[in-house]
Amino acid sequence: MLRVLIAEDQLIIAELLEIVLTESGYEVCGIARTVDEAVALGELHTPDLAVLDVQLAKGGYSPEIGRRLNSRGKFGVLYTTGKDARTSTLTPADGEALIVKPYSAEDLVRALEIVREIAIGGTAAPPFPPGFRLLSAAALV
Amino acid sequence: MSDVTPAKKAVSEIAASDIVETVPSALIILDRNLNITSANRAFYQTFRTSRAETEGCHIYELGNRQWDIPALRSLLESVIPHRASVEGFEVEHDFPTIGRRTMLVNARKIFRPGDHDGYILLAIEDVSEERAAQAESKRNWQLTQSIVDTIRDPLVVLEHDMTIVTASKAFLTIFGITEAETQGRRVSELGQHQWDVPALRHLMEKVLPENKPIENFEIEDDFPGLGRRVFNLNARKIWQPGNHTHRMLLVFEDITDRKQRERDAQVLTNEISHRIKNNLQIVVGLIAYEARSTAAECVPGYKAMQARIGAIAQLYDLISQSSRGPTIAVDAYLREIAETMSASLLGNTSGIKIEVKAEALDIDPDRAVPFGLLVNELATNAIKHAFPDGTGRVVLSVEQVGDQIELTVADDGVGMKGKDAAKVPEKRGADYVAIFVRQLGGTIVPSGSEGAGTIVRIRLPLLLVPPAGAERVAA
Repeated sequence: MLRVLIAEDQLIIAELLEIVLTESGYEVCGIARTVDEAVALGELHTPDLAVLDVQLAKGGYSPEIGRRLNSRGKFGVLYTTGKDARTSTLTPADGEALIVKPYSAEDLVRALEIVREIAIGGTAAPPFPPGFRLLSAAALV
Repeated sequence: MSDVTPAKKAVSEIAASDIVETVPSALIILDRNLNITSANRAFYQTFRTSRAETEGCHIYELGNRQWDIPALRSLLESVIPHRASVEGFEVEHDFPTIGRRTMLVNARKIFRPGDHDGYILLAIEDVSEERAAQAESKRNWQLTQSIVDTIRDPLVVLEHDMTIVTASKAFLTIFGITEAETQGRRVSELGQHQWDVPALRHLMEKVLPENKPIENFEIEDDFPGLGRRVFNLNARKIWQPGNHTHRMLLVFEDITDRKQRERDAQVLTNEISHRIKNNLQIVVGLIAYEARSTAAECVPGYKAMQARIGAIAQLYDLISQSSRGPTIAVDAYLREIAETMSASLLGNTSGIKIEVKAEALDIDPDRAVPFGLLVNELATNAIKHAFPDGTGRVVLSVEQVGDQIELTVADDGVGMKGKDAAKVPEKRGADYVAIFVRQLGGTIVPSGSEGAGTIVRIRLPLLLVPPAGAERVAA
């Protein structure tokens, strides 16, 4: 079972994510509300994937989690964001993909699957869930 | 061997007198005693006099002694004896026959073969009109200068080679320089070249030399002593009478504060949009919770709700991308919706294509969301039900019909049959269509199946507020 780390400061959303991911066959190894919490959980549980809300509590900025845990090549990252996908400043170094809010549970699961495929060296083809965007053009078929 | 000298001499004398007679400048020849030995036709015409009154006279006695002026005397008596020629001597005088005129005199010593003393050739040109025009031009310039100085905005006049002719006090103050420092310098050379900022350099070197009128050209940069400023520039050519080159008048309007307010407003709008979407996510999450504990047949309804909330959030972004000031550009909006739908519902390999055919029309922001949801609903229905074999075209179009907008969503698929429509779970979608149309103040135009496929036509009132473009077409 693949381990997923969740970083989301709106607990209602985080709880829902945990349920949905568990039902889809993932193991949620932790829910973090801040960057520091996420780094601590990541070091403790070595996740295979992460679902990170870009903006966290206390002004936290999620790409820092990936940097501090050295995620590149270690685990796939799906960002969630309230900002317009087109104006996002996330780069391939930050993670594999992003999905904008509000996303539906199914769309999120599909998005995470795509991230998983890319992270193990694959590529991805549309159709993508609404609001989904790959961070690296190279990952596109 | 025959002597050709007399013939040669004759030829040269004839040629010379022909030349002298046809030259438009007035010419007189003085002997060493300053008596006039001859004058040409142009002279008699210019001064309205005759050979009888001129030949043999002393130059100072001509007319009412108009040539008896100290400067000319010194020219003829002191200068010419030592120099071969003098040019550009001006005399302004009330001539008895022709009134007040300005004459330009060129004097030259000439020698005839065989003579030891020289003669003086005077060429006299009436430059009165030219001088008057120049004086007028100068007066105009002084008037311009006074106007320039009363304008509060920084203003500068540049020669065609970009050097400064004059600058308003405001310009001098803002740029921290004195008038003396500006003369003949380029803006980039002022002070210690501190004004050589990229934005100004681009303006001077690339934009202005193109000689196109410049209206509302914005430059933004870090200006020494001022900090970061945004200026709005207007530039105009100024022509000078009698001059072939032109100058350029450049006015700087400091719009830094206004720009800052616009940017702050934009940031605020983005912040609000971000928060709204976060909250919508919570709503979607709550709906998802409910869906888990509801009866199975209700679940699709909850899912449809989630999808529509997603669509509303997306429309916010699309709307801000298609806005033309206080209105939304319907053509751009439709294209954005089509692109988003293609990206999320269809893949690269899908045989279904969404096309947009739209006129440039505007819609008010209040109607943009229901409009977008309406298009979404109709297009999604087509995509889901019209193409069982996975290929076809959906065309979204918008055109002006009379004083209304006609929105058409057409597909070339299998068409709707009355019975099937009732079975389709998305029938509620068809109800939504009616609600959105009513919200938009429009009507559905009945259109049967015209051949294959389905066409839905909706008429909406045209925008009631004049588009933003109209206001900017001012003087």
